[in-house]
This record gives sequence, C-alpha cells and structure tokens, in this order.
Amino acid sequence: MRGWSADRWIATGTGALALWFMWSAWNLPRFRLTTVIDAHVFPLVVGAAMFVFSVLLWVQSGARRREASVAWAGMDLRRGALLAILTLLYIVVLEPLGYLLSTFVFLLLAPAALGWRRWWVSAVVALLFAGGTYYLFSSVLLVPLPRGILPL
Amino acid sequence: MSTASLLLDGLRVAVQPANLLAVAVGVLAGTVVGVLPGIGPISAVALLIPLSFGMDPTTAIIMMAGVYYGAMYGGSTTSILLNTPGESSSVVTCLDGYQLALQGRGGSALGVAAIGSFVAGTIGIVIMMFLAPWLGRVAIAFGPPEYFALMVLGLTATASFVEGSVVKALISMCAGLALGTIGVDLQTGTARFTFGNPELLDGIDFLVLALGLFALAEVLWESVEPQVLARRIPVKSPFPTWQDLRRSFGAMLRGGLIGYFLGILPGVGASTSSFITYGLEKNCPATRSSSAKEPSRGWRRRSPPTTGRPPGPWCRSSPWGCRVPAPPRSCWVPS
Repeated sequence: MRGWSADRWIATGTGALALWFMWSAWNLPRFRLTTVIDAHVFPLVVGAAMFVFSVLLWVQSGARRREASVAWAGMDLRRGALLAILTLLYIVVLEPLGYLLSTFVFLLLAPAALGWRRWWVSAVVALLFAGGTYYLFSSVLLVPLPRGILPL
Repeated sequence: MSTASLLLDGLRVAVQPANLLAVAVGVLAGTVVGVLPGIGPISAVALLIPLSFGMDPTTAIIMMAGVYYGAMYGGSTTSILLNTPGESSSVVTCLDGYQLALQGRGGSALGVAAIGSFVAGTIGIVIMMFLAPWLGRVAIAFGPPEYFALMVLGLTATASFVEGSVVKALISMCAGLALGTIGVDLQTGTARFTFGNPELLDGIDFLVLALGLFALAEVLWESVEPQVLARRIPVKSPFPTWQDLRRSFGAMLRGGLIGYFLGILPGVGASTSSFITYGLEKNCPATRSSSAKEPSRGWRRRSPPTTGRPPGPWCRSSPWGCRVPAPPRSCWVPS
C-alpha cells in the first residue's frame, strides 16, 4: 500500500464512499402507495455509477504507479491547517459570540496565521470591515446579523 | 396597439430623466451588493427592495431591473478577481476568468464580461419583445424527456471541461449528483441523507457548495503556498483590446441566444445554461483549437450566457406571471 499512487487512494476512498452511499440508499424507507420511482432508486444508480468509475480509476492507476507526490513539496501545510481550524472555530462561535466580535477576532488572527505580523494594520482592517458590514446589513439593508454577547 | 408602437411607448417612459436616474442608481447599488461574495441577483433584489418603497411602480420596477443586472455583473467580478462566485451562474466564470486575473488580465476580463453582459442581455430583451408568446409555447411543450436530455447534455458538457483524467471528472460528477440527492425527495417526500438534521431537508444550496469548492479551496491553497503575502499579481491594461472584443463577439451572440432559450424553460437554472454554453464553446469544432491554447477565449465565450440569461426569468415573470412553476425569482415581480 505504501507504493500506491494518489489516484489509487482516491479510487479506494470513492469506491468505499459509493458502497456506503448505496447501502444507505437501500435502507431508506419505502413508499408503498403507488408505483412511483421510489426515493432510493436515483441514489442507488448514482452510487453504482460512482463505484464503477472508481473501479475503473483503480485499474487505470495501477498502470502508472508512484507518479511523484511532489505537488505538496515546499508547501507550508501547518499554515493551511491553522487557517482551516480557525475557520471552523469561526463557524462554531459565530452565533454564540455574535457577528461583530467573532468576525473581528477572526480577521485579526487569520492574517497572523499566514505570517502577517503588523498587528495594528490587522486590527484596523478587522475593525473597519466587521463594523462596516455589520452596520450595512443591520442598519441599511435591515438584515439582522447574530448579535451575541455584545450589548448592541 | 402594434408591438412597435408599444415599444416606442415603453421607450418614452424609459428615457424620462427620473427613470434613467433610477436605473443608474439601481445598477450601481446592484453591482455593489452583487460584488459581495455569495450574494447573487436574487438576494440583491431582496436586500435592496426597501430602496423602492414609496416610488412610482414603473420607476421601482425599472430600478429593480437595474439592481438585477448590476448584481449579475457584480457576481462575475468576484469570480474573476477572487475565484469566489457571487451567484450560481457565475461559477463557470471562475474556471477561466480567475486564471486570466492571475496573468494580470483581470481588467480585460471584467471589461469583456461587462460588454458581453450588455450584448447578450440586449439580444435577450429584443427576442423577448418580439417572440415571447411563441417561445412560451415552445417552453411549455418541453416535456420530461426533453428535460432529461438537457440535463444529460449539461452533465456531459461539465465532464468535458477537464484536462486530464475523464474518469476522475465522472467520479466528481457522481459525487455532485450524490450531494444533490440530500433533502426531501420530490416524488415521495422521503427525507434522504439528512441524518435527522432539519436544516438538511431543503438540500444543500448550489451556491454554498460552489463557495466551499472555489473560495474556501482558494483560501486554503493560498495559505499553504510559501511567500503568499509577498506575491504581487501584475495588472496590465484595465480595458479589453479591440482584438479581444472582436474575437469574443461571436461567443457573445451564441451565448445570448442559447442562454435566452434555456432561460425561458421553467426550472432550468442559470447555472445549467452557463455550463452548457461554456461546454459548447469549449468543444465547438470551429474554435476548439484556439481555446486550447488560450483559456481566456473559452472563458469569454462563456461570459455572455451568465448575463445573457436575465431576460429568461424576466420573461417568465412578466408574460406568464407565477403560473409556470419557476424558481422563486419570478415571484417578486408584481404581474
């Protein structure tokens, strides 16, 4: 398995996903009144097609194995992971903390995660963007954004 | 009154200074709101409808038409410059438009998008004025087999965009279809793959998916690239050259026509028509050789259908009102 190419990993993953999808589709509740096309039929067809294509990709990937995984060489994966975690946290705290506070903190930290060190620039930009969009949506366009814990 | 005299009467109303001002304000406001990532023309019209309160109904409709077109164009701006589609039909603009922006030709791309928008939009309106009743009958005659054929055409056109493994493209297509099955089944009302989550009953919105695939992927990809903050994208001329325009003119015409026809079909989304037109332009035998060399031409050919489509929904909303089962966009226009 160590010698597998990226395509073979993709084929294995999508093949497993297709099988799980077909199994879940099969377990959907049946509709027994008339002879309409039931809810599980289309997902089953899609799952089967996906499985066939992944088998095809698996077979194809055997022919050209180990075609260099240099695409990631020299990339700073730590920064990407940090940003992804930050984005997830932002989504989670958006409603409890409110749009203004969570957006400000996110915009302050996200450039730092990318290596930007001039904090005061980040702070001004974050404040202007978060405050500006909050004012635009809540006061001008009359679309309420999550208020959260700030007394607004 | 004949069509011509009705048209002249309409023109007389439209060129009144107050109405011209209204459309200018509408287009500007629509573009500003449409530029915000993820806000498309429907949301822009919904957001800006308070602007029209208290106005004369004709002026208000003229202004909202301006908002719609402005937001349609604003959506392509974020697609080209940020790889973030503003609405579902400008997803295709990301494919080649963003690559042009990386080459420093973003200004040219924006210019062609604006002009393509105007040309295809005008074609759509002219056709709508003269042929709306006849085209309406054609649209209603479109039955399930025709829709099925159209969807298959759209999907195969999408699979033909790839440069590389076709099998992987087909797998992606199946993954997209699988995601499309999430939500309540229209035939039986069965909740599919919602895992008991009521928010998934409506399915996953295409725009949300596109934002995740394009914008989030772009952000994460940029974040792992070394020295990303030091990178500068060169900006060449902000205007398209005559040569650019001349080469993309045929595409604008074709895009306008195809986009218009697909737009009047009830239930066919703007994204379907833009994908189909992009696929046709990219695979058209007469022009394929050049588009392979230069991605920009493939993109330019696509640009009109996005913007050439607006007459479709407008067409549906005015002559037929809400009788035709159409997406909610038709419902805000008082008919």
